[in-house]
Amino acid sequence: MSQLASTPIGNRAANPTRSGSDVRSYTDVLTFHIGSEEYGLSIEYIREITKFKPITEVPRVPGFVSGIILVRGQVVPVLDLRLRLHLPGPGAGTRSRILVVSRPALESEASNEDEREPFGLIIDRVNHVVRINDSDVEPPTVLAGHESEFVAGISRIKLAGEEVPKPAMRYGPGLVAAEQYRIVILLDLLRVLTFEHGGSMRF
Amino acid sequence: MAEQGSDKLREEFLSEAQEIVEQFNRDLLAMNNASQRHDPMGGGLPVEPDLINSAFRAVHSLKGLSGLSGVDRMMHLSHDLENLLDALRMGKVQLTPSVLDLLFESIDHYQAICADVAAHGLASGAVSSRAVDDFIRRVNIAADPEAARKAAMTAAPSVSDSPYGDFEIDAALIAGLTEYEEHRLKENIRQSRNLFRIIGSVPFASLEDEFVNIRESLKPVGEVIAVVPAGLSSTNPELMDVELIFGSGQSLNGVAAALGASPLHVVQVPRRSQAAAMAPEATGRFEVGRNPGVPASSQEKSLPMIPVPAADPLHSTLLGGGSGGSGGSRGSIGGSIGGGGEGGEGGDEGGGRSLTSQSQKNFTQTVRVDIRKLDHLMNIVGELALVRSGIQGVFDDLRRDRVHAELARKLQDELRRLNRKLEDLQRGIQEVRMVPLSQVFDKLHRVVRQMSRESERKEIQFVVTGGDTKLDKLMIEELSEPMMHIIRNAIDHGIEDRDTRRSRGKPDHGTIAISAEQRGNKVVIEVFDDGNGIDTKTLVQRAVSKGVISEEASRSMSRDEQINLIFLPGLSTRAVADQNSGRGVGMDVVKTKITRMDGTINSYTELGQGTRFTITLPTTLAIIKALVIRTAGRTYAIPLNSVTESLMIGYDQIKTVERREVYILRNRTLPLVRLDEMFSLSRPADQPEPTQGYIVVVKLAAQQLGLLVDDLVGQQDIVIKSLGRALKGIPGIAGATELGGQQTALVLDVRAVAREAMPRAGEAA
Repeated sequence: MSQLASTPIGNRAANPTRSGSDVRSYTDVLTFHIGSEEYGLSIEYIREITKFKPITEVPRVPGFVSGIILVRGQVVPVLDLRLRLHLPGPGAGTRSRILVVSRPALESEASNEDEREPFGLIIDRVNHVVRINDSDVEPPTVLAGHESEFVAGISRIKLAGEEVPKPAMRYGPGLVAAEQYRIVILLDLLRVLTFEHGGSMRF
Repeated sequence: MAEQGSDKLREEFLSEAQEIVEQFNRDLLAMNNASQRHDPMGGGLPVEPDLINSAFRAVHSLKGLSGLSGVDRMMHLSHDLENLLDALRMGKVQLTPSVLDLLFESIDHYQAICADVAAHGLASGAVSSRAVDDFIRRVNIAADPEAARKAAMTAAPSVSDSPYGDFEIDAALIAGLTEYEEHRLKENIRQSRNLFRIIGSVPFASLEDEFVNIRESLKPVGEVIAVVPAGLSSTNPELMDVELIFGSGQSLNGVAAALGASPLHVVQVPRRSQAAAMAPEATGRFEVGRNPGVPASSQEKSLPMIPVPAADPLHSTLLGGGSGGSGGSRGSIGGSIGGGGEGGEGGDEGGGRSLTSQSQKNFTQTVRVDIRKLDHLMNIVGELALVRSGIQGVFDDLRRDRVHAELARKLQDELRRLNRKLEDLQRGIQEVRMVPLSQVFDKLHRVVRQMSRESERKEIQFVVTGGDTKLDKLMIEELSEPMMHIIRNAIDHGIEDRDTRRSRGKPDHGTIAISAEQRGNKVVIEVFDDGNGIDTKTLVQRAVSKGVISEEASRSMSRDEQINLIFLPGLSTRAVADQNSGRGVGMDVVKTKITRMDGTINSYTELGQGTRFTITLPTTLAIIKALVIRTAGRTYAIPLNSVTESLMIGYDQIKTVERREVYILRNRTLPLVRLDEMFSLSRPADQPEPTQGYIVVVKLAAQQLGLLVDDLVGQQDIVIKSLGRALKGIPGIAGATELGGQQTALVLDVRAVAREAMPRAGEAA
């Protein structure tokens, strides 16, 4: 599992051009919802967002593998992210989207976009792209349990504009600080996409 | 037996005819391109003699071939086309756009006849048809020099009063030229080129090579109009005196430079005005049939003579018979140069024969093969792979047995070797099936030409690169239709009319560029037009109003996603550009076709600038026939080569032996497997268990197995796509395939299913 170890967001440490003297200390993240929680993935892994479409079921795979879809002629395995993350809640609905992502490169691979296979992730709703400073990311150790297995970090995003609750109206004067952030859970995509099935156990 | 023989004749006729028709088509396209480079104002289009000759030869070959095979309709067609091409060659008829149209139309007739013969046999080609007869009449009118001359009178008014202008040309020389040579001479003069004599002696033994070299080096600067009969050198019997008449726009120095280190020298034929001022010896007047000698002139550029190599004794003996007469030697020159010279008496035999045997040798390097034979070989390779996995099974058993560990290890080595060789074999056959993309591009070229001729207000330049990129023959056939759609759309909706283009500051002629190249094991084809581009705004509005995408989704779409909306059904480019609706075909059809070949298509567009489609295809393609079935609401495809039969049964006919379900098929016990149970496919709770279904009988080595399924959908050609790294190796699943209509199905790995159902099948066999 050591090869799966990755930096807080994505695998930037594997890329020498961007590591080191902090050429860039932020990441652009696409955020989306599953149930009431907000998750984020670095946009460098996002290929496209498609409407929910019929998924061809594949037998003998773990329950979180919904099946396959064809995207421009290419077979794309689709995972139900809610099931993958062991979250409760109803199945995919009309607002569900399939996020087509590229598997992050292993350290042993050259990071050639075309060569890395695509995956589909079923999510409830796409939110938006937000820039997150690395300094605003906490390690996942603050969490415990199932979910933390796939979490790369927890980030606080400062609310802006109309998002900021009017403190005076809601809480009364003086009760402000804690409410001006929202929490986005950054996923460790490589771990989310790494799983075994009946066939891969064969020798 | 007689049936088989005639089938074979038909196949041979068709493949040969098609090859020649393709060549003819290429010549016409080249002629068309050559003509486009010129301003069409000056009467007839310029004629490239090489192209006309090549077209003439193609039609001539077709005439011979069809005459031999009794396809009279094609023979008559070829005969009259030959007349037309001959008249063009001779300059009796001018090449006009309408003549070119007529020639292009003949391709359609040739193809129609071929299709007829393919469908109904050679005899059907013997019958005349109304369409061809009408066409022949039009060809004959076009070929009639009298009518053509009248047209030419109005078209090309200025021909100088003397056909030879102000050149000093000996009448005896003119008399010695063939009609064609004379025509070319006049044509060169009409184009006010300079005339040259190229004179010298070449060794008899290497005559042909010398001429090929001379031709090659002269070609870029002008045209060899005629080869004037000379004779054996008076000074050295192993040398042959030769003289060429050469027309060129270049000066004397230019021609001399092009001639390079050849044992010949160049003399310019002076014009009358110059000639008067010069000494008569220096004028290099044409003389016929005599050794021209070496004029001592200041104007001449004498080139160093190469030493004469000692003639090969055998060769000179062979040629000995021809050393007597100059008629023989002339024939020899004609034969070696044009391949179409009419010389044939006596002494030219030696030279002529060695040239012919050379070209025959080249021909034997290639073999025409029926694609079905290759399919058959491919199937055998597939079966070999099955045998190999049978051996693998034996190996697995052997490995478990400690006593035979050493043997097992050896067997494994051999298996690996067998594997590699099987892969080589498969690759080899796949390579044989590859044909160049130019087969598709040439067809497109013709469509572009036709469409731009039909449209008054659009001019189109068609640029092709990478036509030699190769793809599987079947894909080439499949590709033709989608490519045609894209090109038609580009012309109908892409390229603007002349006025619009001018107002946008674009050149009058629109450009459609096709390029192909191989990248790794993929072939990338790009189609670009510099036309109007796709209006993505309208496209998105259209998609939203038709309910294809939601308003909300449309806002979060990237530009790429917006452009790629055109691939959705009901959202063709026509729907967007509906004010100039044409015969635009839905791009969704194009996409379906490409996807079915396991390819991808993407587009990029810039409004007002143009559109580019990028098609990526695998270089090879394995299409298999499959039986499509449904069970528990899911669809699966079963490769047909492992299916022996299928039958409908009521489930009350199923028996059990040791708690395993079986069916008695023709007194044999057929073990059954319920596919839904094997794959744990749940049925909707409200759906009752079926009481009847189908048994699909599949074979595994000597064993048979019945797969129990709910319904048969039908047979279909499918392309198996890999499930990718993450899902690779699911037991019983070989891959996925697209069935059309946006439907995806999994393809069964029958062998794995059978093994799983009958774990002891290997031992029993």
